[in-house]
Amino acid sequence: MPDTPIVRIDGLNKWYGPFHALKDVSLQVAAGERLVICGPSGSGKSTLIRCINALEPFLNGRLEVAGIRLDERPASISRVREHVGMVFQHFHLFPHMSVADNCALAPVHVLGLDRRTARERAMRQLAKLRIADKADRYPAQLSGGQQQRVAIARALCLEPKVMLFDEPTSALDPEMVGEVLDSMVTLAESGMTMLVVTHEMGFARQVADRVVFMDGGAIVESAVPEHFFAHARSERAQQFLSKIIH
Amino acid sequence: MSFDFDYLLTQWPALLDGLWMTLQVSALSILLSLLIGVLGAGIKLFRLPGLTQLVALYVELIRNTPILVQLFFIFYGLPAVGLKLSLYWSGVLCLSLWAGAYQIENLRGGLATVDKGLREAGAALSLSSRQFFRLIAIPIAFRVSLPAMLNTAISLLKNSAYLQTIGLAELTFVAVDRIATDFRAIEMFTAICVIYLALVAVLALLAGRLEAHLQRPFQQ
Repeated sequence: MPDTPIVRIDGLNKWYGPFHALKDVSLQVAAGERLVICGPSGSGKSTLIRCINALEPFLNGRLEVAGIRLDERPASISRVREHVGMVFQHFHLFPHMSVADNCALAPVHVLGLDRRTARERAMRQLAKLRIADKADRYPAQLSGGQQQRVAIARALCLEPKVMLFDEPTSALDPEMVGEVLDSMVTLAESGMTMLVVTHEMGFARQVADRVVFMDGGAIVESAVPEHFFAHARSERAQQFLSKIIH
Repeated sequence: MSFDFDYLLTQWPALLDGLWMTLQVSALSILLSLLIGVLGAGIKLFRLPGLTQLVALYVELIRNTPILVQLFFIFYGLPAVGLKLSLYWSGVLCLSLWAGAYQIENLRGGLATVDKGLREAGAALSLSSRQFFRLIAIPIAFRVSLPAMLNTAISLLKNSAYLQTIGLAELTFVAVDRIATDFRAIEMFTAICVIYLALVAVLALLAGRLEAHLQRPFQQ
């Protein structure tokens, strides 16, 4: 594994009231590494990646992204967020803005680029996601798969070092899952560090360097995909796999 | 005594002056009330400590007292504590404060429809809360709140007639003033009714245009 990890999580704990959502989670992700995080619902996988860009506060533990320690200060939060892109299950595109404006918004208002440069950057990313022809459409005029690809382009426009995906294909019609996964494979091939919460085990096999299995708020297993799928050690992981792989 | 159109023609310049004053006061107050609405709704959305309670108190005070009393409070009451405003600014302040309270509630309704996920998307893109409010929440809320906001603006325009009670020479003042000397009540009140109707129609037309514009992104 290369020198310093780009994401370093040590002893993370989080509670929702009395519910212990994350139990002493430690995880290191190297630059360029592709991680698939899976596990039953309520296992804490979404909560974990949402901690990485401070959408969820955590109670104790240590979290570092690109050498920046995340704490509760707004300055540290916004510095970390500039390095971390996120793609949500329900896309969350801004409905009143065109596709290009969705992508150019943060470059203009966060990075301070002028509108033309930001628009060029947006068009470059949209072209990579093969959706540049929809640049002047609005989200409501696109299919779910197209919206999710725009959401990926929008996140990439801040040129993040790490991309988080929170069940990016779970809200899609089955025939649209492929186009989004293809885009994610292309992104992975470009060397992006990716943490992907998904149940798409085909994607995990094809792309992941490591599969992390979570249950009950803790990391139960972490292994290369071939190993994980063939010889999951824990009984819980075996049960989980037998349910989702048909 | 029959309806005398010729009389109205002779009074037309005076009515135009009144109309101009009504337009000025109303347009300025609509803008200021929208500003109050945005600020107040923002304070409530972000639950800014202290200010939230102040905004709630303001809204209750305005909604639960007669506008005429509010106007008299500003024009006759405030000078007693050293705040003497001109007729014009007393009128603008009264109408803006009155409509502002309603615009806060109108916008709050619209803001409640803004998906929480959009706030997270904004945060994930490193936008600050203020940027999120200005660039995303308010434009989305405006579209939803527009019909209610138009109603408030129309009420403001109609309520500008109250300003004749403090002597501001707006449309209703001109009519009442002329009736006191010429006794042509039916002509004058018909004339200003028609003018108010036309003003409301123009306002509704403008709002309709704006709504169509805001609605465009949401059509399939």
